[in-house]
Amino acid sequence: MKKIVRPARPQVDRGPRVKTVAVLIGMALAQFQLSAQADSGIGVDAILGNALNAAPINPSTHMGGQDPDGLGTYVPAARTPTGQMYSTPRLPVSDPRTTEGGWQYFGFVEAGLIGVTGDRKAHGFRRYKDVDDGLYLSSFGLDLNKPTTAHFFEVVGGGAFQDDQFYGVQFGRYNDWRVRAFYNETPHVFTSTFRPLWNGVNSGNLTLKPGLTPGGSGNTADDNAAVAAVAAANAETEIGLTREKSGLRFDMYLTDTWKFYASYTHEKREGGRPFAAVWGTGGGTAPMELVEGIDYTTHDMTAGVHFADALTNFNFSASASLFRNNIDTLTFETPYRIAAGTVNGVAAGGFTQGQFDLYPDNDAYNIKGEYARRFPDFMNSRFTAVLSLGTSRQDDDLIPYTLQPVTIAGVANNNWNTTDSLSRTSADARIDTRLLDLGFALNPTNALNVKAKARYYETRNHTDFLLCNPNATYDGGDVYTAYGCSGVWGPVINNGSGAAAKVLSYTAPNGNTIIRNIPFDHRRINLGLSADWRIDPAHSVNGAYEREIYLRDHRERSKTWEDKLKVGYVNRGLENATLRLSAEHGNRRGSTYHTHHPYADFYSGYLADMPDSGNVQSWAVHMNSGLRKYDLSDRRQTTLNARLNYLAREDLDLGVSAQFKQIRYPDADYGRRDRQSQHALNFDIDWQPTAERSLYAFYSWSGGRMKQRSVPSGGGLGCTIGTVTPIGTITPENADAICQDPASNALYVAENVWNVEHKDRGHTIGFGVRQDFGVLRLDVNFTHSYHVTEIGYTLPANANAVTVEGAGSGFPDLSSRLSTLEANLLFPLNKTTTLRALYRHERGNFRDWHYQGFDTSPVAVNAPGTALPTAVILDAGPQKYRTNLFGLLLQVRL
Amino acid sequence: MNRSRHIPATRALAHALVLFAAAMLLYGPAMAQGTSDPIPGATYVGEQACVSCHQVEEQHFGHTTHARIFRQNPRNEKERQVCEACHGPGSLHVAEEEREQHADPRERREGDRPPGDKLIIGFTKQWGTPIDKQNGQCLSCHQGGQRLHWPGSMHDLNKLACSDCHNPMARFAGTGLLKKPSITETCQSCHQQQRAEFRKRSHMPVPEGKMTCTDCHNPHGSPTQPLLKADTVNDVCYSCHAEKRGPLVWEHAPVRENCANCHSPHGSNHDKLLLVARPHLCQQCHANPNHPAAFYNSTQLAGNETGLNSRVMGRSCQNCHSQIHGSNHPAGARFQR
Repeated sequence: MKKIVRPARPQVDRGPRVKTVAVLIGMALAQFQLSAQADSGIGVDAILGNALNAAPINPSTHMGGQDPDGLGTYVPAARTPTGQMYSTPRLPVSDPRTTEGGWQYFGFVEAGLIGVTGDRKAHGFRRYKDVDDGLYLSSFGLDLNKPTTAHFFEVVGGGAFQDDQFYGVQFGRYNDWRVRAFYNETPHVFTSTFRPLWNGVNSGNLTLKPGLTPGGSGNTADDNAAVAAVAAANAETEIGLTREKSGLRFDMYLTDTWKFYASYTHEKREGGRPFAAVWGTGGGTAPMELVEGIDYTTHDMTAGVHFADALTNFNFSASASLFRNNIDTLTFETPYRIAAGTVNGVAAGGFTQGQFDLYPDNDAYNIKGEYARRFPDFMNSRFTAVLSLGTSRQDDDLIPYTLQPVTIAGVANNNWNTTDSLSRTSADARIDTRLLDLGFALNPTNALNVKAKARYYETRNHTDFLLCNPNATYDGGDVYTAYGCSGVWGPVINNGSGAAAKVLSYTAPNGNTIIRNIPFDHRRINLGLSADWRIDPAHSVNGAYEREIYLRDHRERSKTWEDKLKVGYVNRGLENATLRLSAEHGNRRGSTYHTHHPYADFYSGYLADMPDSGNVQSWAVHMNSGLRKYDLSDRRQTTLNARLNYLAREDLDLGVSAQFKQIRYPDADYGRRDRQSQHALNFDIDWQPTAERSLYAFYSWSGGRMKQRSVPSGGGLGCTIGTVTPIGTITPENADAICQDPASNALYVAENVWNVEHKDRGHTIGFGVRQDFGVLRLDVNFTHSYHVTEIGYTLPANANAVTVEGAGSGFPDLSSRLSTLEANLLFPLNKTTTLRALYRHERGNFRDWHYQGFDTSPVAVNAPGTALPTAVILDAGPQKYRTNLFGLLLQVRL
Repeated sequence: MNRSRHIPATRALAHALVLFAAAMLLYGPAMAQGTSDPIPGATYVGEQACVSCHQVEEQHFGHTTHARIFRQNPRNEKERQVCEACHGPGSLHVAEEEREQHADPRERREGDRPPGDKLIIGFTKQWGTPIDKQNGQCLSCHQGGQRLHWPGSMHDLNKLACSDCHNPMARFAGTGLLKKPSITETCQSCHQQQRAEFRKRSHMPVPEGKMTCTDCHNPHGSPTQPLLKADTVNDVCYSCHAEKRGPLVWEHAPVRENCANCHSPHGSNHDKLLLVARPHLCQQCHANPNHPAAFYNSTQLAGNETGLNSRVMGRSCQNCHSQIHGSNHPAGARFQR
């Protein structure tokens, strides 16, 4: 690679030509709602683009070919300090036009015809993009600058009038103030194979289509057939939503050291997403998919200041986020009839509809201050502090327990279908958060940095809701009056459940039931010391120790702590390579693990002692005592990372990176257990022999394993006081310990244990070629990915004969194959016009056993099909697709 | 085993740190940081002297934000130097280059760097300027703000230079003076594992140009690991998924604590970015009596004649517990309404 000094290139003054176009585009954009873009520290919306413009629009180089002179000093490209080659820069506009007022400007528009063949409506193709046949305004950009005053104005956009369109504008004065605004739409298609049974999809009210009877016809076989028929008539319905986001951001230097910014964003999200409702006796029969209507509006406002001088940095921000759900509830009619069961007051077929309370409106506020101060005379030290205070709150009006006028024996006032039955009529929920983060770094020598840090974060949940009816009068006693109520809707809770409503009573086994919300809270403390030793300018080693402590309310473990050790090594001194290595080991332990006690305060059993006879399962057993939830369990985790950038030749880079992670759960007999691994290996090649030619390729492999185990309940001795088990006789005092233990054979029988192992493999390859053939420019990019998950299992000892014969050793593999090939051929027609021929091929293939068998009928019912279905899955699942996109576009310089 | 005895020690350490920090704040007026002399003995020569040799660089640089700021509205003398604002004063470099042009080329060995390069700050591998010096030049203007936590951050610790991601010499990208056309491509030039994950069956719309890495991460440093832009993982997620922020009457503990307990944000081979296929994901925490602990297998899939089970179909556990992120329905304790 040679260092080159070249003569100056000629500048051409073409004079003013398209000021009118600039004005027109600006006026057009002004009609859109505008929004703000984030910086790397605050907010989202950091990119404007779409699938056909995945990189932000760059007006200065959009039409330029690669510069044969590279970036000057090194041709075609210099290398980053790590050693990766920079790309060959594209030729920027060399001859901006100038208006009489002194504005220099340049721009472009790219538009033409687009056509798509193949499975263009498939979910895989449409998931996050919107391309139609016909005219397509692909992208445009305009850059104006007035050097005499330092004012600027820039407009970009693309995908015009499609659901993935985007527009951005910024203007201001360099180094003084700036206004940025954008409008960006993002489609999100969840499925293109849905089969809705209702009118009113995407609303809050789903009414059955003709041919279906609310509450069922009385003949379940007929209902099954009718559901299948209506589904077939409405096949391949797309369910998705569109995010329309806009906003505005203003930045300004107040002084040389103070900056101010303020932003506002507005998001409108409309459409629907697949949802589901359980229905039927016991709460577990005939679940069916629904469509949840989405109509969200979110307002986000942020304002703040930055201060920076040679010694002190200070940031302060205040933000508010207001979320509004314009569909408060989802009411749906059911096409199935359930037995009235024990619920009084409801005739057969009386349960015709159910209702969800959807996400409530919520408000969130936050103030945050960040401070950093250098002390050059005290070992060149630096102190940092972050204080952040936040609150999220909502006071949504609550809805009744049920839509049906049910009655319960023994209760005088059955008002369950009115809000009078609620302990409170609005949620009044609030969670406050606090964060304090302190750090102090010393540089006792130029080669050594030592840092201590401490961090405290907490949540405080102030929500309090009692699941009881203050107006119902229970004739059986007064032990519940302490809560001001005597009836509770549960334990199986849905509008269609035959065992839906009940009076608090301690009739085993369902006597102990949840009656109060659980206000989960946690506090997290991190304390750490780290050191970074720069052996010489090219080599450094670093090490860190950190203890992370979690204190949780109402969880199985009140406290966990994890000790983390990390070491790293960086070698930049190799002549042709840069090497980075790191290793991290974490060891998490915790306080005593309780499987039941954390929730006891929120169950009805809190109000009265457990009975001293009979079946006490609901009091004594939450889950088996050998299970450890993986976010709380003991854990040893080791991670090794390696990254090598190798400069194979002056025009060739090679890169290798790898991660090997192993996790052990030493105290978990059930749940996620034993050893888990996650590995990845990546290879990269970048070859840039000339400015006119480049090639890259990559390959990534990933693999992992995870084991889990459980043991089903049932078939045991039972959790009845006085029962003799292998580990003792059940008494009121030891019922917790014995009944939760699989070794007791009381509820869980240890020999019925089952195991599952997940094995993941992934392969991703990609390559790209760019070649200039004189004025003709070609670039091709391709990626292909294949990922598969094997789920194997061992059967429990009590598996029935059908399972033993047919279950095999696991589920069918879950797999996905995705490929994208995009090729562009650019041919300059003249100095201002280039013809772009675009071809994009996409294909995907998915195998997901969750949707096996649902491509023909959504009704999963045991033969002969006369009973209520096991499930009604209206989404046929991800489908194989193959599409070809052709485009003929003109790029015109303005 | 309860190890609460560890708390007093950690508290003591925290208290000591706070007191120490407070003492530092009261340390009195610190000496102003002396402006380091990037090229000892050198003086500024002015932009025209640079451009007289570096016309190609100037052609590209002229389109960058830096060029327009420095040339059109500099806020101080340093910015007014344009090229030398970043590369340092160039008098020694110019003198050496001139001397080199008159030197006998036979005296130079093949592969030798022009000696003038050692006399100016460069931002490439070839140039060899120490990383601290390179970054110091950038931070002399860009300290604070979103870079307040750069010192000691993961990227700083791994000795990344600003110019490992940025190239202010040309407008490679529409925004941010990056080395690649987009933030995503820039980050993935090192984070290849994430590049592969975003090509899995379920992923956020990063390859489709609707999201990018800096929507969630601040590569310039953050007190929240791993370089997150908010106080917690969940706060990052809520910035787009505000509906899940709640709070809700009925909360699901792992959901409230960390979305990543169930979701893999960079991509998954499973639906909805899930870590593991359902129902097994749920069964890794739920071994309650009855169906949560049951053994599910392939004989229960749709397409079999009998023995069907809804927990292995479609949305699996969420066929019934559809409000798994929490419910505001009075009867939603089990996330069914």
